[in-house]
Amino acid sequence: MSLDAKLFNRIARSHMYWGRKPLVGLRQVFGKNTKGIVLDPFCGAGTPIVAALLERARVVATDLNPMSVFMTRVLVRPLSIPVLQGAFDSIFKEVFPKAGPAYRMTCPKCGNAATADYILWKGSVQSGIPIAAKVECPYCELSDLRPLSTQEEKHQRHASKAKPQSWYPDNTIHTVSRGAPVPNHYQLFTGRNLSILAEVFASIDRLESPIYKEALQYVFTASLYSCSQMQMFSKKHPASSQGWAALRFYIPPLRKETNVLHAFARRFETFLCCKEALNAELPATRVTQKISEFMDGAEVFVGKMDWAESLKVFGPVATHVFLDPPYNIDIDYFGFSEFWGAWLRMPFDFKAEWHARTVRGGRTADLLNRTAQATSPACRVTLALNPKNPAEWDSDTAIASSPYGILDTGYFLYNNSSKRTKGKPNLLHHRERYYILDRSIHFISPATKPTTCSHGERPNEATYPYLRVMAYFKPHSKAESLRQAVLQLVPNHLHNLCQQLEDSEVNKARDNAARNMRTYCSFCLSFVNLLLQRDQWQLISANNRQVEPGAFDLPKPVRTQIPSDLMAAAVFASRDETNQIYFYFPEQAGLAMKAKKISKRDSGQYKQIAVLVLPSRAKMDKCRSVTRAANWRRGFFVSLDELRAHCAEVVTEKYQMLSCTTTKPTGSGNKIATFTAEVKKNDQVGGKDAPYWKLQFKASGLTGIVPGQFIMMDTVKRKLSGGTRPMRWREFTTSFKGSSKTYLKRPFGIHRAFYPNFEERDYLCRLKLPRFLAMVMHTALPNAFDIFYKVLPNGEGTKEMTELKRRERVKMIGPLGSRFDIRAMVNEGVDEVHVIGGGVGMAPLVFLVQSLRYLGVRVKAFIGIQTIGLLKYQEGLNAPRTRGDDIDKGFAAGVRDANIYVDDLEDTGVTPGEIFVSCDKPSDIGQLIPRQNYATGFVSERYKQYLMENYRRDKVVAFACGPTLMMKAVSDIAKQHGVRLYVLMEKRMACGIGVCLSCVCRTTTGGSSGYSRVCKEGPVFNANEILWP
Amino acid sequence: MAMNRLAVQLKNLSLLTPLLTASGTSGTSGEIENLENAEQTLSSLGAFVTKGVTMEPRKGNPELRVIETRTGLLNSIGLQNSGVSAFVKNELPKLLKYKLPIIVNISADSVEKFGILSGYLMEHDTSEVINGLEINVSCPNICAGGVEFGVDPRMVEKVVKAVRKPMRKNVVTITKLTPNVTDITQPAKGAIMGGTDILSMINTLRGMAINVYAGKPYLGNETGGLSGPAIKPIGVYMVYECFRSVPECRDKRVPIIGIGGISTSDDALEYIMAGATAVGIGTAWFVNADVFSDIRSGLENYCASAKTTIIDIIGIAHERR
Repeated sequence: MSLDAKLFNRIARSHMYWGRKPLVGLRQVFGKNTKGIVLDPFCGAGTPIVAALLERARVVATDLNPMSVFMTRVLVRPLSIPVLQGAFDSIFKEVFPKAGPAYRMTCPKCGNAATADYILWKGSVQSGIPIAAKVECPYCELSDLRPLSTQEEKHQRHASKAKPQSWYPDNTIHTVSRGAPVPNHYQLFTGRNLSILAEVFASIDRLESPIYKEALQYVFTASLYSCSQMQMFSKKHPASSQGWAALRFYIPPLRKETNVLHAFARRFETFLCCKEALNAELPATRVTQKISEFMDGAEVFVGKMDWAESLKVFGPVATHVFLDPPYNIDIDYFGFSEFWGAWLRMPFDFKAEWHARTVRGGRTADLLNRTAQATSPACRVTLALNPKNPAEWDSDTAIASSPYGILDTGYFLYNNSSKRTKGKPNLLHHRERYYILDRSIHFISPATKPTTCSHGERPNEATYPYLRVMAYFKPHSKAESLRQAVLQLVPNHLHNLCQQLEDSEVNKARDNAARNMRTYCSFCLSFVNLLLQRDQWQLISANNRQVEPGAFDLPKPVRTQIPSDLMAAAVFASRDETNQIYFYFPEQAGLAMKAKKISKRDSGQYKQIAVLVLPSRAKMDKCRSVTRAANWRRGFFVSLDELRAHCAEVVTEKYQMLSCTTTKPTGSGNKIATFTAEVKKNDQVGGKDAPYWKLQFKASGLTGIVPGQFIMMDTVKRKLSGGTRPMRWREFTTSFKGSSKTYLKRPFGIHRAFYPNFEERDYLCRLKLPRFLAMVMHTALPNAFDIFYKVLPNGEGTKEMTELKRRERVKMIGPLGSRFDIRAMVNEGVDEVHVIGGGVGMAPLVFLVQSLRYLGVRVKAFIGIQTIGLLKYQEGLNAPRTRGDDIDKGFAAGVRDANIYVDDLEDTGVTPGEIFVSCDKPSDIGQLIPRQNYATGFVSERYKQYLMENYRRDKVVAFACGPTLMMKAVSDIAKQHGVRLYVLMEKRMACGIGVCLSCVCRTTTGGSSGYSRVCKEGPVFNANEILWP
Repeated sequence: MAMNRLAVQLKNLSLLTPLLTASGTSGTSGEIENLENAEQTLSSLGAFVTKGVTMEPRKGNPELRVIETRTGLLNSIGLQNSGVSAFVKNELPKLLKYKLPIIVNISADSVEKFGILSGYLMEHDTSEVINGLEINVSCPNICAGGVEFGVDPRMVEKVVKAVRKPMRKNVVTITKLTPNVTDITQPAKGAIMGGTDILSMINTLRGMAINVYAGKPYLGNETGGLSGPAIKPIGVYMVYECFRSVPECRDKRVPIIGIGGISTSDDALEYIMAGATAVGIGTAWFVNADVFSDIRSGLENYCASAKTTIIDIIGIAHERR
């Protein structure tokens, strides 16, 4: 069930108001046509108001019926759940001592006091006899409908005739056409129920807070019906107690007397559900009853007003008027509004209500004309007419005689899954016609009124679009209507594209629309082709027919079945025959097999790769998780969103508009997870006395980390093995790390990340991807990573970390920090990136370089370190090698020499010539990098020198990380030379998630406090924003 | 449905569990939701206490703001916040969806401003989201209105009165006391005279740390407030003392919220047995992101195995001396 449908269900269950329009349909109406202020002069129970608010419109809701106004107000006003609960509890406590004994019975099983949930009565209203009761026993948990003994019967007869002690309404029933068995509202209840209802109402009346009082009055009125002796009755289905085609105020010969407190509590539960859902969707709605406050910016105005007055006052500002007038003066909800409103002492004047039942169409035309007079020409109007409404029969004539033309039309489908329909297609009268009207449109004349379903078939949501298309495709229909019909058919993510198409293409789309998957594939392939062309690659399909960039040009003849050649074998070859990229779509079968086959055939050459094209970014991210990606070996992932965004850059004229409409990547959805990581290795780097350590982890729980982000880890191992079993409290107390000197977690950036499907470290060097395609392709998410840390003399945490051993498990949280969007940065046109790292600060930059290299960006790396020796360490032979080192020596020792940073950078495809090293003390550089790239002194000085020597820096971005003084110096240099610089800030942290405000640094963007949180807004900042100390 | 053994009553607030967030350690709104275990955390909470709010925006103290000590944490954040108007506009609506009682922590540097702040919150909280105000008369890190209010019982009384004056009756007042006093019962009695509904104790202890490698204090503000397991014995003592010596606390007319160094369910039980009705958890959350759900299940297991409920063991240590 969709979210909207869920929400609608909750709203509908909170009260019994008639004719609630489905939220799904309403959102479609408001979503397409609304920006600004929606005016609903017949607001009813407020469902359209909720829909409009969900579409971020401001709303004026008025109605002549005070009950409607009351219900709308309570529905849209945000309420605190605990306060509601508290108010309810206080009422229950107050009423229970009086009401509890009234329904008391004896449990037939255990003999304790039990409660009657309801009692069944038979006979006339005045002299009925109780025949059975549903007894609920809290002790033996019995819940049973059982006949009553003579004694109990006598007791019940007596108890039901109680006299109310508090106020209750004694209004007369105003019925227009159908009679009621009793003349007054209060006679619809038994004496007992009425007296308890009166107590509950009095208790609600004593609540202090007016808004929570109203909320509980809403619940109270909602429970009134089930507390009464009435029953819904439908002429068509006399056996059913459900359905809204009921005769009003009908008391059946066999009837229930429900326990008021139970009914009230049940209604309260449904109301709470409704409020919880609404709070989540519309938390910040301000509801006002003053026009001035609405004009000041409150979201909703709710007030009792005649529609004509409402149009006069709000018509000039409204951008959309939603008209769903009552169809008759004698409709059920008028009567019931009075029944409910009597308790709230509301005055009713139904004679003044507008309704359509007079001259055929005449009044509808009048309504439209007066709306047109009151509103601006740009204002749209939605006219919704109930099928019972006689005005619907002549709505076309009415619209034709008004200044409006039909922009769109459709049905609100009442998905009423009551017992009678049993999930069968909706009955015809369960839908309601709506017209979206606009004054600028005239092309659909009443003559082309859409045909409704032919040969008696009932439409449902699936067949409905087809019916509409059939109706529109009459010989002389206009292109615009054709286009709109097609828009209905193609999936959401293709809508924007369709709007770019020519009429002839729309016609083709019509043919293809039935086979959406094919349309989707052809779209994707066109985009891929465009990207490949940019890199002078060529797209070939398996049947050697070139797929043209035109969006809907498919190989002919069009077959009914999805052709397997297009789907399965969209093979793309580069200019040199051996590099091949295979594209697949998620709906295809046997994906994992195919991917495996490709990687097997390729056998470590990295010339053939498989790409999975997914419809949305969210779906793609799901597939990229480590577990899922394991089935997609050495595969890449692409989302249609991104393909589209990049294509817009390539072929400007045709796809320019598309880039504006693409959604932003939803990267922020990644949540911070708590997970344990297994230590693979913990090595000292740079010799025995050096303070540097490299720690390698395997962590399947890490959910997608991007450069710049970091993790926070415990400094000692977890004493428990973990697992999913909930920890017992005794275990927890013992597992708490009492012996450790440290208390908090420590933050670390990621040095290197490793991807599950690329076993070899050097795939980036070997992999040849067309650049523009690489920009949209994503790898699987990493599952192993290194951190690089320095042990300081006063660093107790890092000292403890050096004790970590292989296979030990450490608890950590991550990924932390904002997601710096490297792709977006590269898309802005960056050719070269400089990274400047001081000491341990280089570590997170290596991870950054890894990502940049993947996108095909050139990198220059500047490393600052005390001595060259500090870079050297011994690496186990099982670690893959990248350089032609001394193999024999390595074999003999079981280890080989490696250089931190330099080797890591070379793994990612950075050549030694692009690496610059500066040392504090002169030392021997050896063969590591070219001699001219080595210098003694500060790394910032080396960078300055580089910038002075190289003048081309318009498409250059730099990143720096290291000691504050170094970053400050680099920041000054970058400013002088006009290079955009980002810095990765480091601060002492306590929480890592942005609550403790301890890791702040002073920035120009820090708002009123002048501080930004490194862990939340950072750690990547634009250097210009930082106010250096 | 199984019986909820953890439910407690804080005046008119019914809490599903006795666990509260401690002010300043769980953000103002929304931060929890970035966590993967947000749902478990929120369902383990009895109420949510926001970070301190002041009338005007506050910059907070200079860096460095926190430093770890053995089993503790020294902080001097200095009440950084964006002011009450921004709070009401941006944060309050977000708090609605927590489905928890919301307690707003308030600070000011004069008695009048406390009154104005409380009035402002009441006036602008149109949906009546706020269920309680926690009066912070004990922050050690601000120069005026913090701990110096909290050590003077008459001042505490005045502040509580000023806050209560414009308040709706269904909102509870909580007074957060400082441990930086010789006798905790004095300010507690002052707060009760002022009409506070609930007491919460303790705020952080004043402390400092010096960097011997640099020869200067670590913290930018030089001194800070100490929290974490290090201060738990002090907190337990102060709750115990209040419960013993203040009659209103003894007969549970003024319930106590115990705060300070709670990181396991045993710690929470210590506070409860000393006389606290509910407990606040702060620093431990930084260390263990699952701390709320862990403590909740710990308490549940305790109550189930001892066949008791939290309400029954409040202050039990006094009976079994």
